[in-house]
Amino acid sequence: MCSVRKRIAFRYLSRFFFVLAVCAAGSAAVEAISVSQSEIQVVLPRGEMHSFSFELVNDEDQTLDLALRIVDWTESSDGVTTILPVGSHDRSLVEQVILHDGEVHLLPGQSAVITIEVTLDPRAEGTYWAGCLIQEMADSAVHDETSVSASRQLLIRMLYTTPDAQPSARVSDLWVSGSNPITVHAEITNDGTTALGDVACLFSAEDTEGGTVFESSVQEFSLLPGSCATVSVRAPWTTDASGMYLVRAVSDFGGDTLIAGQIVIRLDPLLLVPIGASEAVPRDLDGDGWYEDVDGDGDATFADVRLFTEFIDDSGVTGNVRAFDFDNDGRITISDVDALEQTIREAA
Amino acid sequence: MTRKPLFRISQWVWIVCLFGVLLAAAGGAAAIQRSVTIQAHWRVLPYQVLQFMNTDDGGTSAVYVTPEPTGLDRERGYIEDEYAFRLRVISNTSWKLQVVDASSSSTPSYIRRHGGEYVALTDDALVIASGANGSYEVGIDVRIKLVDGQPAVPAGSLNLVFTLMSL
Repeated sequence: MCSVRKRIAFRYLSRFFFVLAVCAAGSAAVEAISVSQSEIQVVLPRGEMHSFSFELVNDEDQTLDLALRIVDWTESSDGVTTILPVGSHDRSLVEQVILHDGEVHLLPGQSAVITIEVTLDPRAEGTYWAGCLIQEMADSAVHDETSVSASRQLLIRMLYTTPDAQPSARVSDLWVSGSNPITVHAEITNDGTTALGDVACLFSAEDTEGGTVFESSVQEFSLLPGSCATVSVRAPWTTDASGMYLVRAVSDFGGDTLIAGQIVIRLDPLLLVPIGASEAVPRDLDGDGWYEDVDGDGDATFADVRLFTEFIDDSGVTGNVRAFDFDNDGRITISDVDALEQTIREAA
Repeated sequence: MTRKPLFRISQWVWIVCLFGVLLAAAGGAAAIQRSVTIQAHWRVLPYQVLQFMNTDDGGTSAVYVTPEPTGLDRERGYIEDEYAFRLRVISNTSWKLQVVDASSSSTPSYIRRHGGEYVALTDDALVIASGANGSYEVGIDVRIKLVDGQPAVPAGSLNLVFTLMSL
């Protein structure tokens, strides 16, 4: 009885905040589609039905035609969500969802309550997902002028998980890239059957004496079963830094244990020598870690670009990649010449 | 013969102020005696609002009519229009806004969130904006290539679809 009261109170509170937000949007400007629920994540026993409703509000001054359909979707490692044809993956929830309204015709100021029912298959194991795509019917009017038209969609993501599902993940890769700055990347893979939410990852590095050189965490992220995500942080090492470091990525994915990966990186000290016929060693004039003054004459000019182009394969350059990797791709190539020229042009 | 007032005006002001302070103190003390500590828990469902801030009069979809190319446009080979579209996103949870070219036009156009870097529009979705909970205005800049001095977009052929969802 108490839980029913709580549920009713909770539903009214949610609607109150939703109406408050819609009012705030309406006071700022008109022309809005509003949806009272953007994602649902439920732990549901197999065979039991779960029903939920959300509200669509037309806060515009004209009639709005909306098409609703249940779709499959997936998310790439760079965070892009792609709508897929139905049944495109083996954890599709589409066949287990009943949507009662396929089209909604909303007059200005009108709202509609949409109900969705979900029943997990008795053989279900882990997380299954689908989405309710709310599409604004495109304006079919033909415009005489060359034009770009835009329409809106909202995707309500639905993830249903069986109660006994166990999360599982691993740090599948750990590497560094760039010279200045150096970036540390970790790839986290969800190798289980359960969707992971709020996955955290902490990067750290220690020197040979065990002292912590840096610690940095990334924003929490989610991972669907079978997918992986790459997270990165910028390391504090400057071009002048040298030594051996133990770099570690530790992730809390919501399981009973933490997962980790580690690598050792070695930063060789710069051994700068005069390039070509120069009389002085290259110099970093502005302290940004790059040695733009290739001939060491105290000025960064196009003469430095010419010298760098001529001696790009010289051991004085290739042996000091971090000093001359002007495009920060970790290698000395012709694009570093372009990057140096661009830097000098901008400075001039 | 006029009677001398019991108090001057300034004294009356002081008396009224003193009375007010005493009354407030007494009320506060009573409130402290009656106060109890309660804990209330509730969860607010995630909600989202997506609006176009400049909608063409002809329909519910926003339509941006490309301007006539200027001399500068012809020289550089493209028309660039900042704030071709303005969208407002309100969300009480982390969100992302994706865009896709539903018309699959052969000549690529470019798009960016105002202030960002241009990326080519294709029929593959791309995340054009994202954020934490709150209210955001998202300005969309469009760059359209010119072929023979004219926009490489046949009338009405470029159709952008913006999709709002949880992050």
